[in-house]
This record gives sequence, C-alpha cells and structure tokens, in this order.
Amino acid sequence: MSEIPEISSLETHLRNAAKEVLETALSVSPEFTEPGMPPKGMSAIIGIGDGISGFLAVHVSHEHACKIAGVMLGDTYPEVDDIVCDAIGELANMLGGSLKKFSSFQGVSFKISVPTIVLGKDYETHAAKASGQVLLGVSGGPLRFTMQLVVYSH
Amino acid sequence: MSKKVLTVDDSKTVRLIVTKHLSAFGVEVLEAENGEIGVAKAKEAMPDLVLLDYNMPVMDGHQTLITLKEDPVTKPIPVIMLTTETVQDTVLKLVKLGLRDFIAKPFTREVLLKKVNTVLSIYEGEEPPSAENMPAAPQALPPPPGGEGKIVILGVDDKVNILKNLAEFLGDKYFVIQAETGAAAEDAMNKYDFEYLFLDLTMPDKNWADIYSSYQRIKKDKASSKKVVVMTLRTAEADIAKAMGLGIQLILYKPFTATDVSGAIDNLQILASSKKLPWLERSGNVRILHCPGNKNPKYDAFVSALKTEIVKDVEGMAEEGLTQLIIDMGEGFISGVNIAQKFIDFVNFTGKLKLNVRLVVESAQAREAAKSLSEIAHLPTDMSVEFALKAFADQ
Repeated sequence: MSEIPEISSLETHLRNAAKEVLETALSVSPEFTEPGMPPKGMSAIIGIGDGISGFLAVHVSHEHACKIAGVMLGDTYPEVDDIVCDAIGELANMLGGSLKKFSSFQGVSFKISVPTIVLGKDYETHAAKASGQVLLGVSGGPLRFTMQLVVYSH
Repeated sequence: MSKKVLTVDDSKTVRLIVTKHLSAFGVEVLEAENGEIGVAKAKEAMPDLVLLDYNMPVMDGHQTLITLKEDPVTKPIPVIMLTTETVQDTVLKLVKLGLRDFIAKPFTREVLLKKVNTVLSIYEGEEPPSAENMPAAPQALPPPPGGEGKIVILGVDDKVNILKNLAEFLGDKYFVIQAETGAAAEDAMNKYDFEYLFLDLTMPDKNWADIYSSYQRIKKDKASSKKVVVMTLRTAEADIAKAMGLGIQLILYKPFTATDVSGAIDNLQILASSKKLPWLERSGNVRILHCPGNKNPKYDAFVSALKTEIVKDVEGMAEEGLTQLIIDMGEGFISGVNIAQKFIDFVNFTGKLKLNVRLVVESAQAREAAKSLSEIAHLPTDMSVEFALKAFADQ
C-alpha cells in the first residue's frame, strides 16, 4: 500500500491529466475554475484501488455531455443516448489513466476500474470518511464539466 | 483485398473513433466489446491486426493477449495495445507475451494511423495524410444544394453507359451528385444528407461493401433511413447475397432501362412509406428488435412495452409479409424472473406468427442468460447483428 499522497500533489496530477486528455482527445485547452455545485445530469465514476483507494468522477450536464461526445466522435448528439454515456465514461477512463501515469512518476501507484455511469436529475455523490478531495471545474471551448477526486484513508 | 482490423474495447466510443479513422483508408474494422468476444472474432475473421484495450470486463486485455498468443491459429496476428495502462512494468510484461506495440490513451488520429501503418502499410510515406487531405478530394464535389432539393448520389464508374444516362434521367427531379470512384462516392455519402444512393457493385478502387458498411457504422440510425439501390449483374450471386445482408432494399440488374430506374424509385418510396414500426429497426427485409441492457436508460420503457407496443409492432411486421426477425439481447437484459418470463412469452408469440427468428447475444452475460432460458435455447444464435443478417442472407 502506497502512502497517501498530499492532496495538493494529486490535484496537480489531475490538472495535468485533464490538460493531456482535453488537448489530445478533444483538441481544446482546458481552464480550471471554482466548481461550485457539480452539474447534475450524468456522472461517470472510476474506482481507484490497490495503491491508494477512492474514486474519480466526472460530473456533467446533459447538454455538455452531448457536446463532449460530439467533439470526441465528430458527430451531433441532440440528446443523451448510449453513445453519449459511453463517451463520458471513456473521458473519465482516460482521465483516470492519465492521472495514474502522472502519479506513478511520483511513486504513487494504483489501479483503476472500468467506468460506471450514473444518470438522473435527483442524486448526489458523497465521499464518506474521505481523507482528501479535489473538486475542479473544467472548461475548454464550449465544453464544461466538473472533476471530483476523492481519496480515502485506511 | 482490404485490410482487416479487429478493435477489442469495452468503450463503444473508442471503437467508433478507430473505425472512423481506419475506414477512411479502406480498412475493414471489426468490433468486439470484450476479450472473450474478441478472441472468438479473431479466430473467425483472422484480422490482419488486433487493437486491444487493457481494462475490460469479462476478459481483460492481459488475458486476451495470452489467449491469442497461446493459440497457434491466432498467434501470428499482430496485437497493438490501445490503452490507458502505460505503467512501464506492465507494458514490458505484455511485450514479453508477444505484444507488438502500444498506443496510450488519449491518442490522436496521427498516432493511431502511424502505429497501424507500421503493421499494415495503409498509406505511403512517413506521415499520414491529414484528414482534410484524404484521397477522396472533397473539394472536387459541388457544394450542397440549398432549398428543398432532394439529393441523389450516383456511385458509378461506367461513365458512358450508365452514369450519364442515370444523371440525365434523374436530373429533372433531383440534385444529382456524380461519383466515378468508390472513394468519391464514400466522400459524398459522408458529406451530403442524401435521399437516394445508386451504387455500382464494381467500383475499381474500393470495395462497395466496405464503403456501405463503414457508412452504416458511422451514421447508424441515419443510414437506415436512406433509400439505396445497388447495380450489378444477375450472375454476381455473392455480391447480391452480401447486399441483402447489409440491408440494401433494391437491386437493379444490368443492363437496365429508364423504366427500370423509375420502377426502382417507386418501389423505394412504397417501402419507405410502409407501416412504421417504432420499436423495430429496418434492415432490408429483416427487422431488428434491440433489447436494451438493464443499465440502459431505455430499459424500463422497453420492458413495459414488451407485452404491448412491441407485440403490436411484431404483428404489424408479420402483416406486411416480413418474416425475418433478429432479437438483439443487450447485456443485463434478462435481469430477473419477471423479465425472463415476459421474454419467453414474447419469443413464443413470434413462433405463433411463424416468424424466422435469430437471437443475437453479443455479451457473455447475454449468452449465459440465453442458455439458462431453456424454452428459447433452440433459437439460432449469433454473436452480432452483422452475423445474423448474413445468416438470413445466406438462407
């Protein structure tokens, strides 16, 4: 089991991961903002385990989920469907993989799960007994979403 | 013969991106959503290259690579890992198992094409042509017409005997786009929201089936609403069977007259205006019922419609004289006793209508569910809708 890293260093890795993923997969440069309340609509959640444990979530409104899927796939998605859900899951997966890579450079290793998608209007995600949390608003061109990284103590 | 690539990834998004980038180079892309299906498809189709994800449910990329390399049949197929797993130790372990190369996610079009090119030589030179600079030369096409003009694409290489006459005949009523090569036809199909497509099955540069199936994969629902006529000789039996399998509605046999063309258009209009069956997807004379998995947002609506609207649609299909039905069972569709019973009742109902039914069970979970339902286990079963359509075409 790795030592739980400083949450500030995880935040740096997460910013680097978002930059890499958005520039490569979506061809936009991200800006990071105060997140406020995470948008409701869809959450893609990646479990983190083995070295450290917790989860990484991407929260996005339906409107921006469709926009992100459209940019990733070069098509138009007027409403949330299976492809849009899958695209947001893949965005979270790439962010998780990239976070893992940047963290491993600092000797922090962990494994990530396949993404889980939560859809709906009336739900909240809680990080019970978390030892640290990063909540970052991300915007790039017309795209907006929020990243939530939660790490648990053991 | 076109190159064949199998993309094994649980993310449909990644499979679509790979298909989009590689099919532009005439590569036939096959898909599998996990390692288990991937191994089966690799054995069956013997692709020239496998692009393999690492983190997948059912069978992950690590185990899939071991399975492929242990089997003497699939061992020679080069495998490139396309993955977020880039930790050096893991990659080295995979290389020792026979991995040819790896592409880190997220990836760009250029990186994907370069890595694939080292194995398949799909383009010449060091750098891949840019998306804007593909051989189909989209700038050579006329701009899209304004107003309400209906677009007809003519993909025909016989300029003198067929293309000119068809263009003249259709030019009065439609905005006609002439494409003398397969690449130009493919470009026009992707660029324009056309109503009719007339496609010659003997294009010199590209296989027509690759062009059309790639268009179907990329455009999905949009593709099923297009009116498509293919032109071929009556003796080209293999092409005719393939066309039926791909859902082509009409075949014009060469040589044909202006009256034949006019009749084909009339028939397509009749087909398009025939009874709407909202729960069934149209693919030529075959109808497809997609049963969503229990995590799909449409699941609840589907389950509640199974004994009502869906039954009516299937009755409507039988009334139209259509007898071939594909039931595509999504992962997690059979998630309890109630839905299992409903499904059995539905399958029995299709039997009463004397429908010819094939069951598609793409995921391992769906396959297990199908096996456990002894009442429907005797249904012919395929791994994918594509195979089921082919099976109908072969009958």
